[in-house]
Amino acid sequence: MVELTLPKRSQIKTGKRYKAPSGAKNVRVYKIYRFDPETGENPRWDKYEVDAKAHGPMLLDSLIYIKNNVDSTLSFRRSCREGICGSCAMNIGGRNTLACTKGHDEFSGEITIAPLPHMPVVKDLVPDLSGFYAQYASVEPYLQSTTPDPEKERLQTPASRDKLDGLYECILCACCSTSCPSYWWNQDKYLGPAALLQAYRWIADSRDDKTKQRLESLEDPFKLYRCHTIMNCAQVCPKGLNPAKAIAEIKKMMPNK
Amino acid sequence: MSDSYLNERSAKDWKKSHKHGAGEWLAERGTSLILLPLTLWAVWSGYQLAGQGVDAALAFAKTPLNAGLIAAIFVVSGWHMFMGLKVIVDDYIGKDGTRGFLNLLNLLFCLAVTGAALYALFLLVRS
Repeated sequence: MVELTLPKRSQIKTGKRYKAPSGAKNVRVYKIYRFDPETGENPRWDKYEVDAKAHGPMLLDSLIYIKNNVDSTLSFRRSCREGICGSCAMNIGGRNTLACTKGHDEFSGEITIAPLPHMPVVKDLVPDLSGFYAQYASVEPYLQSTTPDPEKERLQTPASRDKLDGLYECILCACCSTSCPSYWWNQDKYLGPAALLQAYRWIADSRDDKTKQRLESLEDPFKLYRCHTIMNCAQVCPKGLNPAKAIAEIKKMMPNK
Repeated sequence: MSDSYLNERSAKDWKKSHKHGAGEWLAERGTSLILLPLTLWAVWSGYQLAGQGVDAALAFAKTPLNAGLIAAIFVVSGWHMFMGLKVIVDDYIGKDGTRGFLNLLNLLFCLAVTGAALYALFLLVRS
């Protein structure tokens, strides 16, 4: 829900500044959110001056360089480094995106890096996504059929298969859900764009026979209808998907279920 | 590890549904659609009546069709206003008790406004 005052120990203080080594030519400044709940201290903004020529072109390269060479206490998630796993989702320059697919040359001046907004922070740039995953699991994101398993794969027409384009590509990075104001205020009740996109991915699948049950499970003023087509989800999705459209399709199907 | 109230809700909890919402969603859109022609009619009628004086306006409102349409505007607007305010309350008020209380106040307020408007129209038509 909306909070009019900041929770205790959440005010962000000014932190340390790590100077670039002498002789560095192409210096970029990274302003990075730091928080360690075990210290009992407030979060802080640390600034790192880094020679951009010392590492690769992406912001994930910058973060790995900082961790390896400047400050090994910096925590962040990363894995595939090519926009497939969604691990390095964070708020960069005020916008949720993947650090591995965002180049540091796409920004001018100081680059601000923070964890995904409005999520509990485990440490530094690592958000607690437990609730997000519970929401995803609740939509039962797997095929449910009432017919016996065929000997080979379950077939569908090319037209039916086309309906899944723009849905199945989701990598569950949580950029969309954590950019949604409705999700910020009601993430304890609203499923959010990512889970609803996945719900529609199975509702739209011609091979799935649980469409009615899936829709019934979603019919709830908070789980589904907190979406007000703000469209932040579609704007930030690093895979170019449109969760708001998927949610609109669910709403359209709901009265006729 | 930070405390997370989100962890308290498991996937099983998330599967529960209140089994309503589609009706309200349809009603929001339905009232919007009904208000579109009604509002255009009201604006057009106001434009036609401009400068014709109070008597002409009274005569206009006393016509059964016009009185019915004005009453429809009041009722549909009141309903639409209630649903719109409810969405705002539901969005921003997290505590169940406070939300329920504010939605009750919202209902009473919208009923009072709609009732007062209908009563005023009734007095006007009867005069």
